[in-house]
Amino acid sequence: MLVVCLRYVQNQAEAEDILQEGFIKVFQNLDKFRAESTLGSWIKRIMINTAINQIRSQKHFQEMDDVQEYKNQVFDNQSSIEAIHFQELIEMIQELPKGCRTVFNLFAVEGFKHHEIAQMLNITKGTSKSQYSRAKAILQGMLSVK
Amino acid sequence: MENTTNNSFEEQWQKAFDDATLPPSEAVWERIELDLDNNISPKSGNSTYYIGAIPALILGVSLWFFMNKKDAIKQVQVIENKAVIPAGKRQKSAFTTEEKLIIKPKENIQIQEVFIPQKEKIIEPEIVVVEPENEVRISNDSVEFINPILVTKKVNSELTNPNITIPFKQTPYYKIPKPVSKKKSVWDRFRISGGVGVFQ
Repeated sequence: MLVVCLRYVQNQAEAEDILQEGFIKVFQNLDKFRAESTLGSWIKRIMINTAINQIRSQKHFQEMDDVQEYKNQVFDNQSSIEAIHFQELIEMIQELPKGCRTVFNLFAVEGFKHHEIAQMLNITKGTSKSQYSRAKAILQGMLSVK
Repeated sequence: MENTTNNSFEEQWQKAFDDATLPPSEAVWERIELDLDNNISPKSGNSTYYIGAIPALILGVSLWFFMNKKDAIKQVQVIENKAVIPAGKRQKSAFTTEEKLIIKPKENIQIQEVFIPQKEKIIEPEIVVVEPENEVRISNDSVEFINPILVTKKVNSELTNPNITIPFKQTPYYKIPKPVSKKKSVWDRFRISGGVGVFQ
């Protein structure tokens, strides 16, 4: 779960704060777990929600605008990330701007749809798409260098 | 083609973090334990306090509602008085309404009750029902007292007093006496005839 928290924040200390807060919620709400999913995915969802709430309190999503320049960009050079260790990938994600980092994590890694992300972050669907395109372009640039 | 490349990009990131694990520091678990021990949140089992507070809350709300209802009734009365009677004209209007309500009906009633009995009191002692028979008796008695020799003679003594009878007829309670028919005896219907003449 620490890996999940590390993807949403910039450093270890912030990730551990989210982890601590998330686990307290888990222990307090264990009676609400209905086994509709696995315990691991339930705890993971709590960690994600805790991270989003903390980022939302810092008002980073209000500064997010549509980024048209990345919207229809096609990436020809698809570099593979299979050979890269996940800690390096985490460091790459942490270098992203906060807004588009959250959108990238939710869409690419967690598998949410853009309209779901828009509801979760209280932004428009277009903003979610454009922010994801921006994050993707930045990561592609980082991977091409390596 | 574009979708396949995008999916492969996202799938790669998902696979990269599937089995990724990092152990947190022991300080994190110690802080979690401390937070759970010193838990202040309302979900820690203090529900009995909330259950006990429900009846008190209901009682308080009902009392508040009852008291507000009383105040509301009082306020409505005050507002009605202010709205109907302005402050400057309040006393004048009150007097005029009392005069209209109290004095005028009494005057009307007194006129009807007082004046009619006064007329009756004056007139009733003067009413003497004088029947023709009584008048005849009185006249006969007076004649006998004066001249007992003329007792057997009939005296035409019907008395009339125009000064008295006219106001009697005007009074509402006066009834004109009906003439009473004299009952004749059975023997009066028989006629005794003699040889010389007829005696009736």
